[in-house]
Amino acid sequence: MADFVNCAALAQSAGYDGVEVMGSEGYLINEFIAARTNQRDDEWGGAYENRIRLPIEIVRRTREKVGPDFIIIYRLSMLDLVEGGSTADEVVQLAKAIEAAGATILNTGIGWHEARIPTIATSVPRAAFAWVTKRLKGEVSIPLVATNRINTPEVAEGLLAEGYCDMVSMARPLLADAAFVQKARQNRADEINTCIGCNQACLDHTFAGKITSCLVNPRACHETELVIAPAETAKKIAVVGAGPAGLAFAVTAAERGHDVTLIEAANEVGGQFNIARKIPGKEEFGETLRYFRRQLELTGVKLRLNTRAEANALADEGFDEIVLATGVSPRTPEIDGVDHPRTLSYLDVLRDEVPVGKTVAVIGAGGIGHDVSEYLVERHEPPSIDRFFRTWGVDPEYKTAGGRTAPQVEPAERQVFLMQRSTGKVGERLGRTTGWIHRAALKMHGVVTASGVSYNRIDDQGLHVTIDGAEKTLPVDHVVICAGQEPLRDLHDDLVARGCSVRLIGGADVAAELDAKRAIDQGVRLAAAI
Amino acid sequence: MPYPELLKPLDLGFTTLKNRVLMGSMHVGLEEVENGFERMAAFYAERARGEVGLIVTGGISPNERGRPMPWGAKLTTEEEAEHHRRITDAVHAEGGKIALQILHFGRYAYHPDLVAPSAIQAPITPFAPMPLPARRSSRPSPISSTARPWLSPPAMTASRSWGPRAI
Ligand SMILES: Cc1cc2nc3c(=O)[nH]c(=O)nc-3n(C[C@H](O)[C@H](O)[C@H](O)COP(=O)(O)OP(=O)(O)OC[C@H]3O[C@@H](n4cnc5c(N)ncnc54)[C@H](O)[C@@H]3O)c2cc1C
Ligand SMILES: Cc1cc2nc3c(=O)[nH]c(=O)nc-3n(C[C@H](O)[C@H](O)[C@H](O)COP(=O)(O)O)c2cc1C
Ligand code: SF4
Repeated sequence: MADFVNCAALAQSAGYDGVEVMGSEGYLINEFIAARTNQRDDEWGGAYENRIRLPIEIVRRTREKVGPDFIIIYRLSMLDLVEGGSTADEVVQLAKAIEAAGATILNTGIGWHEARIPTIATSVPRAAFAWVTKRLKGEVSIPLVATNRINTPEVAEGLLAEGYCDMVSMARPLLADAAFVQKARQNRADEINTCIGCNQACLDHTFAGKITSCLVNPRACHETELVIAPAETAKKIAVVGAGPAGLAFAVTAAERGHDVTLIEAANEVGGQFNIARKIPGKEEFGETLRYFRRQLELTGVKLRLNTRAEANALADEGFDEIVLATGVSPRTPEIDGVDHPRTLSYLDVLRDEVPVGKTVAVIGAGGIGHDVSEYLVERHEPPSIDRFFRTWGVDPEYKTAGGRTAPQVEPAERQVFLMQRSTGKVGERLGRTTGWIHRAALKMHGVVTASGVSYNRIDDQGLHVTIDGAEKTLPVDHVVICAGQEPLRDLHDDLVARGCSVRLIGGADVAAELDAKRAIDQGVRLAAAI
Repeated sequence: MPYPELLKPLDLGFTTLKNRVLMGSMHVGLEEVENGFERMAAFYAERARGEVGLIVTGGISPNERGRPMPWGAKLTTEEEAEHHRRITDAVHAEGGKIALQILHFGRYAYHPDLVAPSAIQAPITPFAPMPLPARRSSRPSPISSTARPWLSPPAMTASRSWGPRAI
């Protein structure tokens, strides 16, 4: 307790306007509060009154020490989402006591780190947990802050207008765009770079001991090192391919004053992101495309859609630099019968929406293989908070301690077998903080997974495999191939031969382990330097 | 005005926030690196310039044992507080406000000297916590990193066992 008070006093002496006492997420203070983790028999354990003594005393003594003119926020775990968590009434009781102890603002904490319910991933509908904060309205008179997946000014405004809270907390949305509030105030919300909840460059980094950044904004936490300054000499630059890499490069280079032409074969920008956003739970990815489309307009990039770039024509236009961001092409593994009509590529399924039968084998259990499996087993509906809570077992009535209930999973749309050639756990290499969600979602829908599989043949009977030395025939309607990708860079050598200055970014550079984080980062970094 | 509720000032009595946006706490990993304070100052200042009503820093431990890992950021001395001036000055220069989050990791800490109310290990950590002594606790002894060379930063980075499964 003394250490908390001392820390607050030091923060005050360092010029901070206040402190936030972290009392949620399953950290020390929360551990005292929950019966799950507090089995003490002294005055800090036992009855609820005793278990909440620590936070109350910390706030009270801190207030005593820092005086009246210093902000004390208390982050209260309003929904633990673990067994042995607080009840709804206990949360109200604690909130009142914390107010009385001298807190200025009550912030919301949702879920412990060890809870098995997603609370901030992309698949969590926007503002899904704001109702938890609303339950305290009228119970306390200090401002209440709602949190988690509030990522647009519209959503934030709606919560405030409808009386859910007095403030909104946005964490990751301010990694994605530092000027979020300013753009909202200036009625430029369509220019906001929206957080898509992927966690790939923020939380995944944090929990790997790396510096946090942001997939859609590589400058986040790298402000001093990745500087976008006006170019000394404006160059005439061609960018081929309007996927995440090409878009990021084009708008950043144009912002610096270069004369940029962006050439795209398809009738829209976005590349593979247009496919990713079709996966249930990845609808947010569409925001990134909206952002880039708007930035193209604002920066004056010359966009040529429906144009497949050819080496000769490109070389003749006299560009100072040519950037190839042409992405990847799916790899077709050498399997006997791979050209059988029941074989599809993930592009056939996701991009071209070819009808798929009721039993499906998915070959390749990387990120795309998992996404395709989710696409095939889940019903396709716009995100809904009710449905999300039903599926994962959150009780919006808050009748149980911790707020959990039994999950009710909708029957799967298809029977899917997800397989990989390599040994080891299926889905092991997915994102650190989100991989478990994908694995759990597939398990809920009865997806059968197997590793160490050799694919023998595809024919009229289905897919023939060997698993653990045993031969099996899976009588599936379709086999969907998600077996990696190759860089697509056929223009490269021709352009170099013609004396052009050519650079490769994104999948066109390296296809292995490709994700949009690398594609965008590479695009922005090259644009900052060119 | 667009978003009238979002942009409405919030009067706290002794001070007023310019709007209803609180930047949620994020530990960003700069807390522990070389030039970290300078980089955090630039990071937070840019958000203040972007007109965030109130910024909250990432969690900083109030003592040795509450740190996420042995070299994790703490604020326990005036000398440490001095470094934070860089951040608060930079944010104030942009007309922003900023609060420091005090976060004691308890049994989620990734080092063997972790403490908790009771000796119950978290399902997501490799170490069991020591229960805090009853009533008035004596000051915990500082963690000696030389005594445990395996807890150097690279070892931790390489570890795969650390990480929440539930966010
Ligand atoms: C289903 C699915 C889910 C995904 N989920 C995620 C995720 O959750 N997180 C993540 O980080 N990444 C995800 N990805 C991967 C991500 O989309 C890619 O890493 C990223 O799009 C690669 O960007 P790129 O710009 O290098 O290439 P691409 O996005 O492939 O873009 C290349 C573009 O170049 C164009 N082009 C090619 N040749 C020419 C030519 N000669 N002339 C003109 N235009 C040309 C193509 O039409 C295309 O638009 C997902 C991908 C898929 C398919
Ligand atoms: C990289 C990262 C670090 C975080 N560190 C902290 C922290 O130190 N203290 C804390 O209370 N919450 C922390 N959080 C949780 C956020 O404060 C917030 O609750 C969460 O990101 C959900 O809000 P959002 O959807 O607005 O991002 C962190 C989140 C991220 C993404
Ligand atoms: S990395 Fe993804 S989740 Fe994290 S802030 Fe950026 S967009 Fe949001």
